[in-house]
Amino acid sequence: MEQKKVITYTAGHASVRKQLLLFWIFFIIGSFTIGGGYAMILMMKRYLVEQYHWLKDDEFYDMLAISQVTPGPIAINMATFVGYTQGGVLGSVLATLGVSIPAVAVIIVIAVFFPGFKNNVWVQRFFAGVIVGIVAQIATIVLDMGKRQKWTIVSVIVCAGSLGILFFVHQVSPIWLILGGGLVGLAVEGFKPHKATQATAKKAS
Amino acid sequence: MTSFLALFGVFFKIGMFTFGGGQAMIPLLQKDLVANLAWISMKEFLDFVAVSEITPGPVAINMATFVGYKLRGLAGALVTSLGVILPSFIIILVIATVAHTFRTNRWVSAFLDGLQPVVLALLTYTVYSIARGGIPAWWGYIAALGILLLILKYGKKLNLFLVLLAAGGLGLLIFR
Repeated sequence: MEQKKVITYTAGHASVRKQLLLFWIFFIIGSFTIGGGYAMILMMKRYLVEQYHWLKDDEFYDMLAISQVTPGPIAINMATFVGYTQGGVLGSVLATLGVSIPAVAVIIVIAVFFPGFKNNVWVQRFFAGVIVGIVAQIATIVLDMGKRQKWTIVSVIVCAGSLGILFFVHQVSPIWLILGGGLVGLAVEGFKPHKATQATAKKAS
Repeated sequence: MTSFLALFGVFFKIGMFTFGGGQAMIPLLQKDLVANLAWISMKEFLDFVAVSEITPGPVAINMATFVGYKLRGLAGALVTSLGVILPSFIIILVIATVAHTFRTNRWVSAFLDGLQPVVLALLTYTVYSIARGGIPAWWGYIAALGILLLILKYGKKLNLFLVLLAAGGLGLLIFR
């Protein structure tokens, strides 16, 4: 059954091979991205949308949005969500473990063997270089999102307003901005009169 | 000696109540671990943050592992990491299970559409703050722009991991 534009998030069923692949993909993503969850987004999109076609563009960005409104690290939220839709509960466990294990392992290795790790000048230079690459990758996602965003007067104001607050008001928690944006979305929907009657009719039936 | 339950509890609570990703946890961790519980010193905390930001993986898990290892060794590290992961995992699993008609509900759909521009703004700000905190010289910004153009031009043909490794190599050469 093929439905257009209706995205359903149901538990996926996957072969053993796909379950292992889920683990492996998130393990690789977790192993190579420095600078936290945001740095992982472009790589996740590469694998999940472009290479394996497990998710459509819209689904991917929906999951990203949901990962932002729910508590916890974005990388974990994404891994659990994608894992569940692709491979059910087992898939979500495998994907979450995959993205977490490298983070745990690397810190233990550093704590045990290289306590002076971050003071090494070569380490510092190498990672400053990696950050340059990460900045470019997150900028790529920004451009991609900007291109697919439906730009209306409202969305321009919301985006510019959020940027203004982020840059000029310090110590603002992102959740308030996100909730604010969501509420604006609800308000816009509320002011569409003819659609409202349709929905009421649907509810009544 | 700190009990495993206390370790788990603190990180579970932080994982449960911080919105906006792992970076948002840093001030909360500081308040709990340094000020309230005095499990680690401010200097240790800042060291942990610095290392977490240049090691792979979510910063929150890096931090949890560090603190758990410092206080109770390997088992402690596993307990704290699990503590910070579990709330996310459970909440998303619940949402994914009940939300199979997400986009069919017009209000949920409107809510998601409304917050997309905010996500875009957050990502833009992240680019700025990571660049400001992590790129030590102006030529780093030129290099970032160059890499961005490469990614845009060659798209899928470019291996993103090799790009990061190459960027690291470049860092060895150009940063002093």
